[in-house]
Amino acid sequence: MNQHKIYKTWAFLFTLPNIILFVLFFAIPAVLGLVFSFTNFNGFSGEFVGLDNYIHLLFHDEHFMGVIIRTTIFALIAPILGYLVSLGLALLLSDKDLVFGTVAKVLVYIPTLMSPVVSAITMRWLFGENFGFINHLLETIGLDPVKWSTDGYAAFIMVILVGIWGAGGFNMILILGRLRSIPPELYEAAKIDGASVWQRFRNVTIPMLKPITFLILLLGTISAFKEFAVIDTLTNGGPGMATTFYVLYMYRIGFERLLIGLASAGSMILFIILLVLASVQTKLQKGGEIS
Amino acid sequence: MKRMFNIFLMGLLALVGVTGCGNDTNGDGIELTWLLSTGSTAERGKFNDLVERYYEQTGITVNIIEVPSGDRETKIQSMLLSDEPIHLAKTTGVDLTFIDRILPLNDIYDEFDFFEGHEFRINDGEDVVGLMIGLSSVGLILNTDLWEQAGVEFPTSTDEAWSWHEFLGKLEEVIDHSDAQYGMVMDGSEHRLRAFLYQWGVTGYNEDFTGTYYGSELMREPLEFFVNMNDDRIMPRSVWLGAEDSISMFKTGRIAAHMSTIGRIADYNETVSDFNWQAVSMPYEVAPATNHGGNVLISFNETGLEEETKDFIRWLYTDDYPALLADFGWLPALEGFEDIEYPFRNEDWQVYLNETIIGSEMSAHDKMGERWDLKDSGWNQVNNVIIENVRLHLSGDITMDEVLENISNTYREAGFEVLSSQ
Repeated sequence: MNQHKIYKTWAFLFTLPNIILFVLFFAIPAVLGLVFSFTNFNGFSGEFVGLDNYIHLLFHDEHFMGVIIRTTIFALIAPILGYLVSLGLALLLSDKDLVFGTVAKVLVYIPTLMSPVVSAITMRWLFGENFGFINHLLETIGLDPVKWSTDGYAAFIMVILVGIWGAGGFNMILILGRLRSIPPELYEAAKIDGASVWQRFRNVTIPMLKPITFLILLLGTISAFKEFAVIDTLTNGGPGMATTFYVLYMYRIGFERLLIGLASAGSMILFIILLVLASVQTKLQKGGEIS
Repeated sequence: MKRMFNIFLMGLLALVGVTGCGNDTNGDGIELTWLLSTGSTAERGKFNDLVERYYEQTGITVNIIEVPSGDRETKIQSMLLSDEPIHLAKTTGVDLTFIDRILPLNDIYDEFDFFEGHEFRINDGEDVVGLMIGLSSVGLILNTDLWEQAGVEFPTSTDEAWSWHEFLGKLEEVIDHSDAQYGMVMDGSEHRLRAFLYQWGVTGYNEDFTGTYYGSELMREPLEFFVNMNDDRIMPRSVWLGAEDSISMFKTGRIAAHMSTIGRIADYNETVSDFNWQAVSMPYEVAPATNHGGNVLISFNETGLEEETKDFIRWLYTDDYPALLADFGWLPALEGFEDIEYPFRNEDWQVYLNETIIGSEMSAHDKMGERWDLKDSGWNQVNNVIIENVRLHLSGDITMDEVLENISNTYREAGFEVLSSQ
């Protein structure tokens, strides 16, 4: 018993730094944010305004609903497309006998290690509408250049592509790990039963990937809702407000206009949205356990 | 033994943690903290040399805290709120959020011959709270190779300056008869757009700063002219509509003109070698005008080192002011230094200086309006409201009527009357 208490004490001591950091950098700011959301705090002073900030955002801010819809569309499309690309990469690179397989995996993973701002600056050059490399390639093969900066749809697609490029490596590693843990007997049994490659993929691989699929989609959706650095660097929310997503909009309200109370209310609304989202996705996730 | 080792390890980790959290303080001598933003590593080096020279002369250490320009005001606020030592800052303006902590500098202002109107004042103009250490302004730089290739002449003095309509015609000629892909780029900044508006005679505020012309019908013609220029021929839409960098675009050598700040002279002197370029007088529709940028010195009260801070500010103007201006590429904020020699491209600096001398009235008046007792009027609400709405119009989200309506509504909410005529 004494030994058990000692173990518990050491365990607590080892996790104490993490607890302290969590309280200092998450719990306290979160509570402060909640408090500020009921005030007109501007960084130096503020008065209690009740639910005025929430009412203003939800019912009087002409851009807020558009921002939410735009962000939701982005958060639905980007993680799914990203997952599919990562799945494809993982399947292609899962063969142990693949020549230069390790090199390929490292190259795909490198963007994950890069700072999002550095990635966005690099991509801004590649996708430069007037002097960018991609448009130069398109013109060289006889196609029209794409208006990556001035067309809302093109800018939206560009942001999705950059997001997929940035996160693809990390997701690929997660899927690869899960693929390797699928018991080969399942595939052998399916083969014996006459299942084709596609049928084995659909009836064995996909179900067994369910836990990791759920994790990737959940994390990807939350990350998409919170996306800021890449958007701010890549498009600055433009053209117009075509790529002004939620966090960038709150940043502008809070840090450019110093309406910190209003921005805090927006953060609380985002928190609720993400909470609902996580709950729904958790309920939908079932199966895929490996015994 | 194992237990002792574990205790030792925990203690070592705790010590590292405490040491990491501690501040490195020098208990000897006076230390001032100067917060600023720089445009390059080279410029940071110059600031380091500057404070090192001050230490050699006075024994007072000036610690520089460098932050990105976009984070500057946030950093100042957080330092003031958390009682971190900060004695002065180099900013682009006076953020009225922390107005209660700003130290009046009337005594320094009275000691020197500052160009009138560039200082920042509050309390009905009584307190001078921000002093320009050196001026920067907006000007025009041409890719002279393209102009010569097209056989189009450009002005060599203010007397020969074009109107904006004439300039547009000249740009068309250059595009048609040279390798130019676009006519011009203008930095995607409201600061540059305001210079453009001043050149059309649109100033921000009336004489007693109770009313504004922003959002009025006076803005319609210049804004429509500007929007029409963003046609992917005269000006690439990607700069003002997207996030394309106008400076990098001009450096490709495919753009005939660049409307930007004086900082481009030093930048292009170092980085542009593929083509020839030159500063020329900007076009104007009503009167020559430019907009000033900020190298504003502000200092803070309740630090216990207010006099030492003021002494350092005085030293900046007295040590070797011409050398300071030449080194940093600033225009003089004090009268009597108009014949300063810059170490390179002196003719280009002189063009910018001349633009500043003859075209600074509206800019100075505007800046006075933006800082004069605006504490309760929500200056931050109007910040960038013009550029935001112009961008929305460029993207087709709103009409020009809505641009003017949004701008005027924002200024009304900030406490100004929107005036219809000057």
